[in-house]
Amino acid sequence: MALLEGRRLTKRFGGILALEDVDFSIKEKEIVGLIGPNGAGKTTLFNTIAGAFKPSSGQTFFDGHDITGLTADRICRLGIARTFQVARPFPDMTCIENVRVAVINQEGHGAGEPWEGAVEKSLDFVGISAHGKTLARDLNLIDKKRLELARALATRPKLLLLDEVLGGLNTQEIGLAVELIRKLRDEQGVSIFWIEHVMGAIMKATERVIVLDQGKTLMEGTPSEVVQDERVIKAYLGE
Amino acid sequence: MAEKKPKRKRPDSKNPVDRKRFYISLFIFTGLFCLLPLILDDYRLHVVIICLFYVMMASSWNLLAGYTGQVSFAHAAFAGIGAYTSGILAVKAGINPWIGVAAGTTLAGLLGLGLGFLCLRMGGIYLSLATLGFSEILHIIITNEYEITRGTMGLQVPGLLTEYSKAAYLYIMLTGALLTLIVVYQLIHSNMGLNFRAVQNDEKAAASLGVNVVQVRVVAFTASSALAGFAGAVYGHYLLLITPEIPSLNQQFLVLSMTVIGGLGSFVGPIIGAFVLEILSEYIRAYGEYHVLAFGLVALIMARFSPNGIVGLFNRFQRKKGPSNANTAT
Repeated sequence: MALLEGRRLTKRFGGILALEDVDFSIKEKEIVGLIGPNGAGKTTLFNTIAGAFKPSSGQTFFDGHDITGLTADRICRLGIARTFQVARPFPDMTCIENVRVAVINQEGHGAGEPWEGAVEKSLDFVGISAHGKTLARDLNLIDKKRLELARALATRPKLLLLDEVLGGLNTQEIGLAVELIRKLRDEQGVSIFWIEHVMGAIMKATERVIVLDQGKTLMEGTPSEVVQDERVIKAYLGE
Repeated sequence: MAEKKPKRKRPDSKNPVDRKRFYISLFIFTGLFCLLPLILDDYRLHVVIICLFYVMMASSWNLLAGYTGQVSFAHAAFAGIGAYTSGILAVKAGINPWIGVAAGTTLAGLLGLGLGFLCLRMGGIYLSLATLGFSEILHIIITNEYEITRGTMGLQVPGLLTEYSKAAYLYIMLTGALLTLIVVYQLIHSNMGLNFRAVQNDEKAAASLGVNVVQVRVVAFTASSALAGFAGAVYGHYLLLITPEIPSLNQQFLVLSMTVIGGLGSFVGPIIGAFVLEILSEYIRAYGEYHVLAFGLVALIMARFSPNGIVGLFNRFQRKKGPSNANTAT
């Protein structure tokens, strides 16, 4: 059974059709890429899944529940975490405080329960535990992205929605990040749905790729099928 | 890697040492204030009592505006609800003022909860406008319901004590301020307080991490309103005459100025602001009621050039002097 399933998801903004009848499904422990030219509706799809927007029509199912139209915080507590295209750490809070927010707001976390261990583990996993007491606004871009990932992980998700986590990183950093993402799936069993423009990373790390174009699913297949597909090339480069 | 920026560190709120230090300094200050009746005359004691009232008001407003970023203009109105509830209960039903204070606090909290549910989904400027409307409506009702509130004439209410003494009221107001500060401190250093700041920093990101944004705001609004009601009720029984001046916008802007000038979003800021502005306004009272106007202007200038108020200026100065112990005040 699919972990996440979207059925005919549609999102309109006024007269603009940002998503049109998009169907998709993500299985457990799968890494699925989501690609498409700018404005194809990728981030809109994530926002719709994560509850930032309500879809105009269509349904989303997660782990056997209908999660269509639930608020973002409910969806997070059910097990979907996300990162934002532009990292959004809480600037006036320390890294520890940032991650602590994620830990204390999960189902089953009581008021007096310790959170330090979980925070430390997340910061450690992404490699910024040395910056624990640094304000997030003082981090550089890469560390901000790491913090955002640490925060998402601290919600103990079953599914992680990654929105262009590699943007702005150099080749070496991309390699490290890809390794980290694979490790997440292999060691912690987190499924990953991943928007990315860095095709090399997508080729290397994903099992399946969904291509969106102008709000519709253009095709779906293995990474090598996708990059050779004529429709995909046309969508990216034009006629 | 990008260039190295100076890393700012914050005192760890959960750190038991910080907590201990807070309680020790709080009780030292309280002890010092307890000695004031020995050295101050009645007029100066009165000024200190009023300062303490404003400490309660500014600190509880800061809980909302400084820690969750919601600017409410109904804070004075909630103080008015506390004062009039307790006052009317005492005058019309002969209820003990102490019970009245509890009733006033509760009613202000409940109304805060109601108003919160109605308008906190709007957020931002709409919340401010709604609270402004609420405040004006309340002011008009109190002014016009002459039979019950005696309008602008003011309602004479019994004191909290059978015998009137400035020293005794100082202790009462001091206890009130102490309670308020402890509640605020405990709240901002709890998990809920962390959520307050998360919501203020970035609402969308907070929601994506499981923070129930509306609930967090309603909690902050309710707690802040109840504390304002508490402050107002005690204040009314001290003044012995409650007038529509308590729930007025004048009062609201004074509290706002105190918080902004002292330091929005810092714990000691509103305390400093309350003392500085109240004592200043005693000095310039002779020139009429222009002091609120002057404070408003200063608050505006502060908000532009030192958004963290006096506390922020102090921290900046500390950092220049030596980065070792910057950020001592939070």
